[in-house]
Amino acid sequence: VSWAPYLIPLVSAIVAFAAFYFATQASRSTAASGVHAVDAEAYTRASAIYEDTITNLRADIAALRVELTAARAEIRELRQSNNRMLVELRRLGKQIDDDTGPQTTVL
Amino acid sequence: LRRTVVDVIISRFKMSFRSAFLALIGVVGIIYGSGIVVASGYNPDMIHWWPGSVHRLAGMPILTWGIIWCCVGSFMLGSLFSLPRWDRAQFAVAAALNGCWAALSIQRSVISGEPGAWAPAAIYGGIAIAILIISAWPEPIPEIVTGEVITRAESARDDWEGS
Repeated sequence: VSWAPYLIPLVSAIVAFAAFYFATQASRSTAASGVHAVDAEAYTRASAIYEDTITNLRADIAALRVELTAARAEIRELRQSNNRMLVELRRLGKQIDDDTGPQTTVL
Repeated sequence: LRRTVVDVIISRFKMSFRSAFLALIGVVGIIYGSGIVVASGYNPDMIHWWPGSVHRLAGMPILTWGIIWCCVGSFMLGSLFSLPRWDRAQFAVAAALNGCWAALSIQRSVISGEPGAWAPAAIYGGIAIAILIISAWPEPIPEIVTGEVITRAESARDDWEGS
């Protein structure tokens, strides 16, 4: 039979190429689906827990912002009060110097 | 060392069914090739199974074919110790050798006209097709069980609330 000698290399080459091609496609498919499959019920419950946690985080952040604003206002008032006290102390120190002579208290 | 090797093999069997399949075919190939090597040392008239009963096959001594089977089997067995994405060459070589063997059987049947000489082609052709099918299957994606997902979410929530 004339085709018989060509059968072996032909079949081997075709099968080898097909296996190589299929294996390459399978490897790409595996790599592409790198995420883990999770069943729907677990996803829903986990999603609810995460959403709940995120909501709590947002509420905590909002409360922190309010507290921060109040703290800044309080600091501003304290600085103003401190400045007023310094001015008053300097005035009193100057008055004492004027009344008693050159010895002064350094503030 | 023995424990380490066994651990690697077991972990690879669990990790990749493709590697496990290649290893299985590789072990079969080594055993089959060693049979051909042994048979090549005897007078072919004493041997009554194909291809042990022939001197040469496709222009090569039967001993060479036996060594090829052992080498290809070892190469496939190496899939246990290589990355899964590198298994394409092993699938190609395994499919080629089994397809080649099926073709040799058919060729012998056609040339010799011996009744039923094509029978081994069904076995090796079937193995080659099985290799093709497995080569096209991607690895299964591991599924995280429900409890694990819920535990992770609750852990994330507790971590924040505890801090």
